[in-house]
Amino acid sequence: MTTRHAALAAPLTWSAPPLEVRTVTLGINAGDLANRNLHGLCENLYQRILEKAGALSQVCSAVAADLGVPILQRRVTISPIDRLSEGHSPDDLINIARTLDGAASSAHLDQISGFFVRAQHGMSKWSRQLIAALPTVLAQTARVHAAVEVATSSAGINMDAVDLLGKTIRDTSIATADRFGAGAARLAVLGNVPDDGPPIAGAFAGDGWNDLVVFVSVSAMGPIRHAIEQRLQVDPQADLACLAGEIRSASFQATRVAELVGREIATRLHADLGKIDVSLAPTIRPGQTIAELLKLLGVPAFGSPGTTAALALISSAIRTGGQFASTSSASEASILLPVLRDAGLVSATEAGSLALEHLASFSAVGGQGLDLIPIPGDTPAGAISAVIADQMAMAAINGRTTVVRLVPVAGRSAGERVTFDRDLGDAVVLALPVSSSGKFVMRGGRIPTGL
Amino acid sequence: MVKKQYVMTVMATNRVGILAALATALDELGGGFVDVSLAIMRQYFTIIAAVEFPETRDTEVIVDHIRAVCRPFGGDLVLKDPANELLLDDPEVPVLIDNYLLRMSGKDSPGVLRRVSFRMAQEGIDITDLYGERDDAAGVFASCLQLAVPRGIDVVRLHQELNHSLGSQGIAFELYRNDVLQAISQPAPL
Repeated sequence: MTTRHAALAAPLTWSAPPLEVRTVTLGINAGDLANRNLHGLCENLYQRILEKAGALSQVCSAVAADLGVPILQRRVTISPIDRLSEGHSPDDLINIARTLDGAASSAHLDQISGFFVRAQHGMSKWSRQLIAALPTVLAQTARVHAAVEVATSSAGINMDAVDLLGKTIRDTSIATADRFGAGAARLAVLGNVPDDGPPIAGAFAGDGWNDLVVFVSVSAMGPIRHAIEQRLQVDPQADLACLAGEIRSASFQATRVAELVGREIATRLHADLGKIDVSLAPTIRPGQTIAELLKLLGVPAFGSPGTTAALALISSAIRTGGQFASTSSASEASILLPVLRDAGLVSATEAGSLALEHLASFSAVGGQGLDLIPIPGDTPAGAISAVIADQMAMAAINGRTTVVRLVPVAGRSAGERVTFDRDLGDAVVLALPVSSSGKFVMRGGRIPTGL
Repeated sequence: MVKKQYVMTVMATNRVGILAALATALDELGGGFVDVSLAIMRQYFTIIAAVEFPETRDTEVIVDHIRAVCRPFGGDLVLKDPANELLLDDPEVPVLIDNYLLRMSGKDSPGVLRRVSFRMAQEGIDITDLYGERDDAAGVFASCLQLAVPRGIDVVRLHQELNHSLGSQGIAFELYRNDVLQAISQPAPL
């Protein structure tokens, strides 16, 4: 007995949502590869990545073709390098990074993560050494992403790490000045990294997983836009509760497809299926912007009054739709607002409706921090640290995952336009209020949350 | 009692009570529906059903009785005995099938369904369900075809080929795998 699909009852009016998977990330356990011999460590890492992820790109392409669901990015995350590289010199870390970059290139991956440090309580000698090496690591590689967790709700904020990272971000920008400081776009400062995945912005998926795990991230942007357009065609006066229902259904559909794709890939790679991350995020596909989505809801310009309420509506609807769809759904559903990847946000900054302060406040309603924000190249390290500290404070107090990726654009001032590569696109440099807050940050120590 | 199965189609003017009359006729013959599908197109009712009757019931009796019942509705009856049909031998190795939904839509022009169904036949693809509509005011049509595709056929290439060959006539094709459509339509575990 088969059920006749709805499309067969109304082919003129039926249409399927645009379905696609934003990223497939393969988590590889490399914890057993720690080796005091640099050559042995690099060789083993390279072989492990190719052995486990060599087929990832091909499998993703095959599954995408079989299911008719495009997969936009293939990524790998390996066990944190600081656990494998204790006893190695800063130069060794550069060689390890190049090894990862080479392996990622050979396996046709879009990015590889592993340079991840947990520093919410404090920093070991080796953690400090790894963070200090990051500007060179990111300058000498193309696919390696790095992340440092500096705050959690239980530990509070490690202000020594925040202070150090302000300098690291600035130094990374200087080290990649020939690319307008794009290296800083691959360095994330994180708060409340979820222990059970999915891996976010260069972080490790967390402990307690099998040796090989497939994580899937899906952008609900396309299905949500499609659902709202369909509803407004039928009922132009639809109220917000009705549109929230449509968003919930679209999130359900996006999550279900992600699970289907993830299960198929995991089966073919003999891996476990990890968490499914359903978020509202622009993909690398041109033309996808949250600004257009909000316009459909009735918010004329992103950042104008009403934006926060609209984001709250979307965020809650995505979360409920995703959690109903799959038991593997991640507990949080975020709204990613990466200015460098969203042409609509760039337009909003140009038009003056969107400033850094707005983006910072959206964290309270589901925004995932300050992601890929181009700031003036001459921003002092102390000011960068102060912005990070503010975001981490919100993350720690509100218990939400937060990402800060600030990109000091070398040679550019606020209001100037910059063109990066295809991945990051065009942007206008945002003004960053520079004050003497650096002194506050430099006091160091820890900000407790009392939670 | 041993039963014998037939496949029956009835087409008649659609009026309230026709299905009741048909079911009563089957009941009177000691038979009943096994699998049944009903559709209404314009003012006509049509039904195709697998039905069963006692093996001893003569086929002519069955046909005559149902025709008599359907006469007030202007119904046409066809009753087939599957045992009399010439069927191809089952393949030695079972053919694995993937089910897809093909939606074609666009400017209405003659010959589209002919070309598409012919292309499907060339590939050995069985069309297992079909529904189409035309919007005369807008001059557009849309049809959805349920396809049983033998595994190994490059559906991506076929999809591209259809869009390429008929896209210039304003016809667009969308192809979806059934498991994807089911996944997004119902919350059952995957």
